[in-house]
Amino acid sequence: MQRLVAPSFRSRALSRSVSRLLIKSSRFYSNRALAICCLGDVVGPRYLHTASVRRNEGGQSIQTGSTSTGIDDEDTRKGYLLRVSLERLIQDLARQPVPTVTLNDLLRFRTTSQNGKNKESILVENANDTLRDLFVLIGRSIKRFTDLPYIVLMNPHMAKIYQCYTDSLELLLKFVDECKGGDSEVQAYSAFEDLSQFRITTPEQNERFIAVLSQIFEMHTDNTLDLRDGFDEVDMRLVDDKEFLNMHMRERILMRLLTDHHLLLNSQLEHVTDIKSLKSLGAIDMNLNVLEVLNHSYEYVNDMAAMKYADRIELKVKSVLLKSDGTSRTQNIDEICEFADFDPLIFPYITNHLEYVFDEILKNSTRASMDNNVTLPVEVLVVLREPTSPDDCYKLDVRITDYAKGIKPEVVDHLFDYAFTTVDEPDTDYKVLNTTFANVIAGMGYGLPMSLTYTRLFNGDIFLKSIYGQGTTVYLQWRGIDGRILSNSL
Amino acid sequence: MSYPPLKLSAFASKLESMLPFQARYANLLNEQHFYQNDTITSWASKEAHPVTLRQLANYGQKLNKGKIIASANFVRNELPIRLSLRVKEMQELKFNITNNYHLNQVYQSYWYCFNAFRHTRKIITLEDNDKFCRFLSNVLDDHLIVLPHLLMGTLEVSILRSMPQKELDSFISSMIRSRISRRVIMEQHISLSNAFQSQSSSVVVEPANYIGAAFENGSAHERLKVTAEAVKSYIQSNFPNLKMPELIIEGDDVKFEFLTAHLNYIFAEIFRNAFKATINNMLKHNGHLSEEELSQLQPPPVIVQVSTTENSTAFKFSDQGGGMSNERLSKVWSFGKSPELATLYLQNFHKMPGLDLPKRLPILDHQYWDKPDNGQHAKHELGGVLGNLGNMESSPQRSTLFSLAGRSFQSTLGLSLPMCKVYTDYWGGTLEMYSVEGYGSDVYLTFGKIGTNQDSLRLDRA
Repeated sequence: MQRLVAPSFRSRALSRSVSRLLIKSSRFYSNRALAICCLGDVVGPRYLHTASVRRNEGGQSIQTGSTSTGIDDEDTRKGYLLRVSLERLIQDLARQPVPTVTLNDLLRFRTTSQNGKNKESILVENANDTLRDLFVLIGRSIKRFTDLPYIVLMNPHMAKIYQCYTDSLELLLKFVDECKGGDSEVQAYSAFEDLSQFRITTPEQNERFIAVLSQIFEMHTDNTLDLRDGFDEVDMRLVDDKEFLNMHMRERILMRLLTDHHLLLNSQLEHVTDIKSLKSLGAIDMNLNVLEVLNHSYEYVNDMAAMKYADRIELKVKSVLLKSDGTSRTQNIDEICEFADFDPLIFPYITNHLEYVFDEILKNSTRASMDNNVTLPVEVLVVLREPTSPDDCYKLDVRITDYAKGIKPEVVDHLFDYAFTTVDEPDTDYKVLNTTFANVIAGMGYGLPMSLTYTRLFNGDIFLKSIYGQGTTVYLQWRGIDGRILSNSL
Repeated sequence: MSYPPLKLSAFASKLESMLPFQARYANLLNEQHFYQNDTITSWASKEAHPVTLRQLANYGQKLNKGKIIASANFVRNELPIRLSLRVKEMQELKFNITNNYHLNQVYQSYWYCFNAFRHTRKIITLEDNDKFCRFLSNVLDDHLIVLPHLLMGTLEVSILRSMPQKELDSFISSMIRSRISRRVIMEQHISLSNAFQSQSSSVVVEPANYIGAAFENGSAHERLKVTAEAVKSYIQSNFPNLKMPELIIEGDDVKFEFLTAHLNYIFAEIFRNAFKATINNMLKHNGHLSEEELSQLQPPPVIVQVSTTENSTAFKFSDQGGGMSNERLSKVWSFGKSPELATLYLQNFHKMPGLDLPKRLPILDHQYWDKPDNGQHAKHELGGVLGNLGNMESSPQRSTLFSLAGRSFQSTLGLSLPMCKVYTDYWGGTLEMYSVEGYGSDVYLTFGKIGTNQDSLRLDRA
């Protein structure tokens, strides 16, 4: 993430022509560097270079001290109002509660009451909700970082992630400004109130919003590793990393979900006018087959195991469906790769959330089995309960039992704490392979706490019981959508 | 209060100032800064040596080369310890506090200064000491900028309520206390070196920025009269047609040791408040009179009672300035203000001439050594006011204290009493204020005498 900044230029709202004049008079930057600076306001910070670069593109060192333009009025007299207003804006955003999002909310456009709406209005409405929620989540994150001790944020890893959030906010502010015709104004201490009143109204604005969202989404993709590295290097007496990570990770997941949801909704509706015909609505896969997801995780984990251990674990799956009419159907699946031959277990949900948790639990069982030379298969019980009434919801329970000798009691208490790991050195091979969720097969220490965060997002939970010397059982509980969502849409 | 509207795009651009690494500060605040911190933590873990005022005052009795060199090396070792403690303290505050524009200037200045001291070589000859003294005067000079930044930063933090008021007060008071200590140590060494030099030669070179003969054994009455006159004449220039309150001094004169600049500042602030309140109160109650009639009015006097015991000297300043409510009284001692007041005071701060000081970034460490001899670089317009106050000193002053005290009559910073309190605390004294609402206020100032039981190690503050 790089940016080249001509600081005294960027801190003023200068018109392009004035900027050009200043380009000519400056000794310190090559023309091209400055041109980039000016364009930066339009193109966005992603395409600029780091502020930590001490040489500009022309190779001259950027000097501070008596030879530079120095502090000017911008920072004291006039500047203070802008600085303080900006901090006030972030305080106001951070004071807002975390957006409460339920699965039913995400699917609301599918219900009959919403049927009258056309594609455009759905997208615009969702865009506004997403924008509002993003402002709050980003504001909260920024505040969380700036509440850390100064020296902690000086750590380059922490600074990098923090900058992702400030850059995101910058993109959103610029987006709103452009929608208002550029050059828009807000009241000094009431920026928050002014922004709260802004609405996206046209499909064109939504298109621009989509572009901004994609940028933001990509910016934040790999930053979990940086967080881990940052906390590793920082003096732990200065900061409570567990609490920070608990809140941070949850809001990060939420942010990605909401962003992803809107992006997907847009691309899904592009070719379709009838929302009811969609197989996935935004981030939610209406036809999610739990057995298929389980198989996918199993294959993935075994591929990794094959590389490290030249072996694989076996999985014995029992699938139980408790239907809404009271009947039940049980299937024993010895080869999960043949899941397609069996009745599916349909649980409308967010695929990658489910997959992440399966990955993590299976990874743990695999590693433990391999390390202890255990060949007994891992037993998986999957129970899906369909809603018994329109107000009842889908419930998915997955019980995973391994016989890999269990976990030491003193370790068990900390399993769900962020940054705790029983493996000393993360295996670099796996690091390279595993890019989607920025984890390694073992050793990052975030797997279980993250899994807990994912399941609890929509009122699920995880329980773990280990018998030291024998094995471990993990109970995963998920809550899905209400019955009425599906029935009303028919 | 209504504010001008701001551009939304300016908000977007200003986010850059909230980042830890900003291009304009890249010399220090870059990705290596975090990893260089071992030096700070190792120096900060050394013991700071408290210095008593008595030591400082008496040290100059019999000077020889050995004493001077020892003093120089003491300063050389002591200052980086103290500076590193302040740097460390600021590092552990929340990011958005230390990253405040003004407080960050202080942070950087302290870091660079620490670094400059850290690289000073041991002083062995008198020539080494000369160079060292020039270095010290540069440091004193350049750090004049620190006080206004500390104060403005405090006000901004108050506006944003980023820190609870009590914590903020405690932090700022402690920073200023430490600053006083460091400066006194530096100034005293320079003073000693000059005194030693003047013993041996007829030419005395006084760096322009230090306080002058640090300690004076002077007359309380005289100090009172001089400061009151200066303040009075400045206020008179604002109200040329009004009569000024008389100053009445009661009680026998007392001779005691003090650091001239500090005492001037404290007296000046107290008088300023007293005279100002008296005039304002008079105008308030006589608004119906014509200008001619107003100019005939004699405002009630300001009375100072001086008393002394074996161990201390006490001053009671009484005015008839209308007094204030208990509620208001409870708030006068605090550096942190309510957001509304802080905004007002900050704006007044911005209007002050001479305090809009050196518009340059923190001095880099090597620049403390590179500069030519004192004086030339800082023609900071410290306001014509200084003229009067400056006359009290033997050499032209560049001191923040004076420009603060001499500020425009109309503007109020709300900081005079908290500042005076820090200075009085440094001297082991006390400062209190009581008020009779509707009538006037009394300010009680006491000082312990140097060299008595009062003068304990705790007076100095690392």
